Amino acid sequence: MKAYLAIIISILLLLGACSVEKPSLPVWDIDIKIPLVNDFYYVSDLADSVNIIIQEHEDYGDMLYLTSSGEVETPTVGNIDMRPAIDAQFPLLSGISESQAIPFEDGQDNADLSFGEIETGSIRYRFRDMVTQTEEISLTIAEIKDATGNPLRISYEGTEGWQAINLAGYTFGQINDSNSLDELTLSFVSSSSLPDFTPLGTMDFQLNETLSFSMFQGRMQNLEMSMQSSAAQIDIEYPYNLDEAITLDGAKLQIDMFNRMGFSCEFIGFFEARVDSLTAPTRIPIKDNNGNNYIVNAANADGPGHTQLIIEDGIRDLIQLMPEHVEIVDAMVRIDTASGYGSIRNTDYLNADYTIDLPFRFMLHEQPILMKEAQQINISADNRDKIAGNMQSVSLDMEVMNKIPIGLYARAYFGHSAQIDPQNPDSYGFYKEIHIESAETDPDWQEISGLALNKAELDLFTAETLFMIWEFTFEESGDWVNITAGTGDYIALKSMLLGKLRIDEGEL
Amino acid sequence: MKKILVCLLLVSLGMSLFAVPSAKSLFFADSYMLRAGGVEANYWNPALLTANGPTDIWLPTLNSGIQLTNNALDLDTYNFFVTRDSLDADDKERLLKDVDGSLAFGMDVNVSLFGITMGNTALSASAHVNGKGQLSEDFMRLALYGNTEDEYLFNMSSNNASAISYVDITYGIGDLKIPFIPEDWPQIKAGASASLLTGAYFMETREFKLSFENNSDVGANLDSELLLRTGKIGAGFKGMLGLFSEVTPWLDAGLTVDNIAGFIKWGVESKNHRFYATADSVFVTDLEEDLFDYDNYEEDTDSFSTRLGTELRLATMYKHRHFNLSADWVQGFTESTVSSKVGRLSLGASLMPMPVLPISLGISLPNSKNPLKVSYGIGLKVKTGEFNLAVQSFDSLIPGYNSKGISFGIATKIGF
Repeated sequence: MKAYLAIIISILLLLGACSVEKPSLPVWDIDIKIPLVNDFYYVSDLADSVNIIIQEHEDYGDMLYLTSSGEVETPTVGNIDMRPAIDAQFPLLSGISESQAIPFEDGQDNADLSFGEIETGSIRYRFRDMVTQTEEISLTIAEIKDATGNPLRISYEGTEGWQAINLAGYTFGQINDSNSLDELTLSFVSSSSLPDFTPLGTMDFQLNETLSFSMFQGRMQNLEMSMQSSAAQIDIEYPYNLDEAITLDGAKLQIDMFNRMGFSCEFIGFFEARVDSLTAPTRIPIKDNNGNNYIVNAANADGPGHTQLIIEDGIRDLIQLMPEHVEIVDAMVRIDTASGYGSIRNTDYLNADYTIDLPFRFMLHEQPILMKEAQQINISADNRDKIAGNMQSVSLDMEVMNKIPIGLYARAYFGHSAQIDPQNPDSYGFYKEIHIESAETDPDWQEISGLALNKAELDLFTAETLFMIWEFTFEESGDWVNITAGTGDYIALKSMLLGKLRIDEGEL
Repeated sequence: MKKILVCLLLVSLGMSLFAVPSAKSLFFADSYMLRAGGVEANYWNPALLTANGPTDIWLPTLNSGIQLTNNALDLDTYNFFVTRDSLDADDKERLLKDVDGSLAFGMDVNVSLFGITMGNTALSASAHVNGKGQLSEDFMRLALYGNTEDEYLFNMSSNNASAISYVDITYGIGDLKIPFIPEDWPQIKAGASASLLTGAYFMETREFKLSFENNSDVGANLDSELLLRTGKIGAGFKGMLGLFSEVTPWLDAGLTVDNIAGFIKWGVESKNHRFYATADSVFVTDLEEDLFDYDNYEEDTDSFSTRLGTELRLATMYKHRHFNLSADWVQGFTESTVSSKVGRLSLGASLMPMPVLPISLGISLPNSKNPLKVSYGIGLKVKTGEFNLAVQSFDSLIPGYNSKGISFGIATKIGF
């Protein structure tokens, strides 16, 4: 019996001796694999239809082009003014019917009129010292016609003193007559009860005020019109030192001018590029290969005259500056004697659309280029806690297939300040670098290494705000590189995010 | 930690854990058919209803037992796990080394409500709560190591959960002599009991599948579906027939068929709960899209029945003045919440070095669905009643740090 008791007591003692610990969760680390991306990034997707477009290159097929467009135009011409200096007196004799020509010319020597429609202007005349026996006196000017085509006619109505005729709506000269209207023909007819050739009085005739023509045919001595420009914005933020890292090729400026005036014009202007608001702009004159200003074709019966200018000289140098603005400035058109005979209305004007085109054809140099602004990364308190408490390490398992003939090194610098200077290690916490071979070197899948963050590096992400800036360094190309935009031009990227996560009670 | 325990309890699967018919069976590792007398015979062999005398009384809660078990983690591992600050690779392997395909958890509670025998009849009631669950080893590896593999497949065979709670009201009649037995044969007594079952809650996993593929070529693909069926408030029935014979003065034999026509029909509220989660080639860069399609809905279903599988139990007991030895074999005919087609052998012994201080021992041999169970009990027995305490160890001979589960039972009897 004692043995039985001993067994039972021993068992109970064993059981009683067992301690059951209070439940408490330890922490442990797990590996997580999260698919990050598996996608094709086509060169053609870079086209934004605004500053980057796809355009066929005569030698290389569909290529990416950097492009920017702007407009310039003149104001409407307005009325063409002439100021003839006619101030004549005509003795009036009885019983005559005769014609007399008087010179008609611009007192300012600015225009030679062949035909014109008057917008504003007037003729003044008076009869004086008239005898009472006068029965009829009339003056007809054949070159001045009213709206119905009847010549201007002035009759004596027994009134003396200055009178004026509003010439609005009258025309001068014969339409489409290429000869200048050099003189006016005045035809007098008179009658009275007195014998023929008896003096009847005197007529004073003045055409010495400004005549404004809403429509003008003839020749212009000199008419200049300045052009207003809308700046062409290139909405690309170039990284620092990009001008040193790439050499451009094939930039051109195309200007399409549409001239509503019936005169050919001389175009004078400059093409200006501004890198930024702090840097003085650089400009080149817009001239042909011989250094002469371009001539813009006149309008004709079919419509506005179209003139296309394609300028290449000097444009590459301007775009090589990586400007944010390009603009045609100080532009004007000039009509002068070289324009010859022409026609113009006061509503006519000249406008031009211009486009700067740059194919993505580069020569690459091994110079680091730095993005202008660091990206600010805000990290929520919850994520900061998770990174601090749970994230032990993280890395990217990445493969890249590069079908673009550009190889590069990319560095991402992380720091607590936006003023990250790659040359100053104190300005950032750490950087990570990857290397992507060009398509010519390795057209297949490339394993990308170097994208792992240890715990110390992850601790940088426990701050509320973090800054990151990219720096790229192209591999020296040695030759021109064309960035085509076909279906075979892409970068394929697939990546898994690998992390070591600490599991604790808060995670469950 | 609480979440883990709740998940493991509720989301796991089917280690076959049999309901405890009455608390005192814990004392003998379920080798109890020929030992149950009085009110307890209502649940073990109604032929023995009068074995404890004319009157036997159960008082509420004084005959109760509880089991908590799993198939892999012993107390030592548990203590190790909860006292570590952190787990390294060796620690994780220690946790996983005994998990053979899946981690199974189970819980069973049996509480007596009342019971009384009157002559050869008995009326009793008891409450039962049973829950079990299973979690595949791959799931545990996923939790401990992360998604290191490219593809994961989970199905219901290793990942499921079920729970049931009900109250029985059982009436039994026994001590019925079988007529027409040849005179030279030992007398055979018969008994029968019928239980009205009142279900409180039932939940089972009807469908579960989860496939997860994860690599940089296809992204993350997820296809998962879970169907749970629940029922509230049900009514059912089960019957038991029992035979008993004292073959010789020192040898008893018995036979029972339990859970005859056993079922609980859940009629007040029957629902299907479906959960779907799918993802098709998801990459983190697709943040502007919905990464996962998630949907869940519940629908009323027709009332359904939980079948209680019929069991055959054979037992024999050798009796000596100072001890007795018993052996029980239980064989289910169907797989159900309370039965298994895999037979199980239990052995029990009662030692009586002093009549007032009975000692009990029991062992249930392991099989493919059940771990080794070893029971130890001690009691205080007087003329008008007795009080007993027992402990049961799973997968370990001695209750202690190597046990993968533990049961406690108390049994109190008042007799006149």
